[in-house]
Amino acid sequence: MSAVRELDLSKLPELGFGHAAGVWWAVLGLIAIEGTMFALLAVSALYLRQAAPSWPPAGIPAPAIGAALANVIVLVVSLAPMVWVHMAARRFDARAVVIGLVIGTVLGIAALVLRMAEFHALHVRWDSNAYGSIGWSILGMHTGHLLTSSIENVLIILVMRSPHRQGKHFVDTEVNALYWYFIVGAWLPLSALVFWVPRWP
Amino acid sequence: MSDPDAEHRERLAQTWAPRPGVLGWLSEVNHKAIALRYMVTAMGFFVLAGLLALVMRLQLARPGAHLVGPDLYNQIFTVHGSTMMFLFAVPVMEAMGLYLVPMMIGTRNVAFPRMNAFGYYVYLIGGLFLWVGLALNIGADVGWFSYVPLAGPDYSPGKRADIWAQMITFTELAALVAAIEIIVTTFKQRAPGMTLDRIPIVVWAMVVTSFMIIFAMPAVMVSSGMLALDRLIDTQFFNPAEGGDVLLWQHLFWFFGHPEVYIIFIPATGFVSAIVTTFSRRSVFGYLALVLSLVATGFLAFGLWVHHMFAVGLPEMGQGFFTAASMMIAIPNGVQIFCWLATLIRGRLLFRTPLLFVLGFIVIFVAGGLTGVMLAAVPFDLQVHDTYFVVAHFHYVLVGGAVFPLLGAFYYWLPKMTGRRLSEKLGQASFWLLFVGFNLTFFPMHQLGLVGMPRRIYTYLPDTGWGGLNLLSTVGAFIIAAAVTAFAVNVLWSLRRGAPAGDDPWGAATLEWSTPSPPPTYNFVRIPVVHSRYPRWTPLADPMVTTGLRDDLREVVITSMLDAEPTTRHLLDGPTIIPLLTALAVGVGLIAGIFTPWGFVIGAALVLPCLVAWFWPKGDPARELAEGRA
Repeated sequence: MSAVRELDLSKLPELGFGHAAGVWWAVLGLIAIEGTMFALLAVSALYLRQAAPSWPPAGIPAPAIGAALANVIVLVVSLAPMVWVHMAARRFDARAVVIGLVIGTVLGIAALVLRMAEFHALHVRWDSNAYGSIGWSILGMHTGHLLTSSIENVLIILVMRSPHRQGKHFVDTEVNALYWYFIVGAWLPLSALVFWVPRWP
Repeated sequence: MSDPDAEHRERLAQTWAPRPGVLGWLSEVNHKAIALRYMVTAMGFFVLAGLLALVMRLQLARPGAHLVGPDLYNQIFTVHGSTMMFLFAVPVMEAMGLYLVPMMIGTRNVAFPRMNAFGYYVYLIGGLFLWVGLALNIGADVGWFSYVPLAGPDYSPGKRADIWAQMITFTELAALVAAIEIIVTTFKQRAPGMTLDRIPIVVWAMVVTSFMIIFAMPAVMVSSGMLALDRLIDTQFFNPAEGGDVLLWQHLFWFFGHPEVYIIFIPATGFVSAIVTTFSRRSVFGYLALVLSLVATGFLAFGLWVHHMFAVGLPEMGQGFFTAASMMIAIPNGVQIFCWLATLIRGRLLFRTPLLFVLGFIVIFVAGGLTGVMLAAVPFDLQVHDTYFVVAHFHYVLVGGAVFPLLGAFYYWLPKMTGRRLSEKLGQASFWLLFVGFNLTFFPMHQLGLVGMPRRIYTYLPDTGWGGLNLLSTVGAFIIAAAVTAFAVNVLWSLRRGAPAGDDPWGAATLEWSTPSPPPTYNFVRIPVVHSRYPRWTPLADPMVTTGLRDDLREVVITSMLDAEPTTRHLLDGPTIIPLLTALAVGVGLIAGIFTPWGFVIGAALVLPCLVAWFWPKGDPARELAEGRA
């Protein structure tokens, strides 16, 4: 048997963060999928706009931008606790993860409340015309992401406090933060598209 | 002869064993078991859709036939096309990937075994949904691309178009899951030493396909979502009276629909490369050129969608661009064909069934490719748009480009999967039946299209003069049915009577052939170390295998993406019923969602507890047991 040299793997670590983790790549793939969906909705909005005589259609006021502006600020601010969570996860610091996620979740709920005001600020129903349909769809799709990610934050808080918590849950926490960055990042151009583009002549 | 690995092997078998009983069967997460279910299901749908094709051919065999009426005929061709594209072609290719990729790269299971099972069940529910609709005479009836305004609320009342749109959601969700599985497994779980330039071409093909799925499938999910919303809650996406646009549907659909063709074709080219290599008994000519062709095809496929829309009237600049792009994609595909020919010419050919199917593929696909280049020219396209010429063209590229290589791949890999050899005689018979039957069915359609026979008509008048060629085509269709029957008989016969296949019946080069046939649940007793592109054809080198992975846990080795250097030992999830429950919850939500928007709320309420149960830490009894802490 001694003729065969074997490659010994027993000393390898049992956890890897970032690109050493399969789940990191999976979330990158998920971001690519969801990013494509958002991009296609955005392109659809621009396509409908170029075919329309006016955008918004005659008789509909341009959307109010107060709530939209506030929500952009809330979401950008929410990046700070999430970066903190991200770094804490890499240190296996459960306490810091929980604190950061609680703040992040509170900001997420604030964003959801502001989102209701944003729907109102569109000044149009989803079934009035195509302009309303695409605006509601973009907002709705993003709200779905915000909602599920906020639920995920709460779940991770609970997992962090569970006696069965394992090392891998910190890797999950890291990719959850990654996904949050995406949700915030995707919103900036979409918000501009829904709330600012209709104000252009 | 004492086996030093005997104890290790036994522990692996215990660790990776599925759970017993019916519940255990439903909790299965092994990639081979799931992939086989995918294959059997997809082939089942293939046969069902083929039977619909026979009904269509009988109806069209002579003018003025009354076998089926126009309404049923509409349902039949819609369900035939939708099934072939969404329930057969894409799933069966992904199933091959889910089976072969872990075996070919030297790992024990896919990266997310539970997600994999979830994807299968979602696909199964979506497929049955479409067919239950047909069985209840409320089958989708607006064509496999469901153009608006026909598919919109004004012209398609009832639930037929909704069934189609929601079937899309199911199957695309499943396709996306499988794509992520294949990408992550290939990127992170390759055997140590399998650098990027040593990855088998089949695996490259699966990875390129998976990336295409990630960027193409969202387009059809978005468009079918818009269609469902237009029909359910009166959004106005496709209603021109309220600022909507029907061409938006066509753009979104074909932005998916054209890459879809290559999503089906690229895995098939992977099979062709593998079969050509093995049966030429030499390394493939132009490995790098082949891989780059796959990648180039993947990119170019996204720049062609408008050539499906030439007839709607486009700016001339746009027509020119998409004509050029459509012709350009012939370049990487031509490169592939010449690489295969070069391999074959310089090889010592072994004329067995898999190679026959590959040669048949080359002939038929080249014919389909030539009519494709013809159709890329706008004036010609306008002439034959919506005629049987187009039907002939896409059956040549899809059946020639995908079904022939797929059957070749089955003849090649089934001995590995089942442990039994197939009958060579029956195999060759099935090839010749298919080759003759296929050409007899579809070649006359070129002519029928040129003389003006439109697609999707349920009958025609005697004085059109189309009767003779249509009858010929119908005869061909029954020969195809005989070929498929011969294949099915061959498989069933081999399961009972076939000679044992042994580890490597073909003398092939890649890792999957170094396992027993059928492979054990854990695939490899020891994860191999790879030193070349053709591990089984090159002299052994040290180190040959790895050691130190735990055999009392479902552990795999994670390697770096480029150089496949081992970085971590990673624990994969074991069997559970939760993926099935989650898929059922998704199914309830989506099906209820065609009747009321509350369906989605109900679905979300059902899915949430499933996901909590899925991810909730259970203290991992396996690990605690193994570490003596239980």
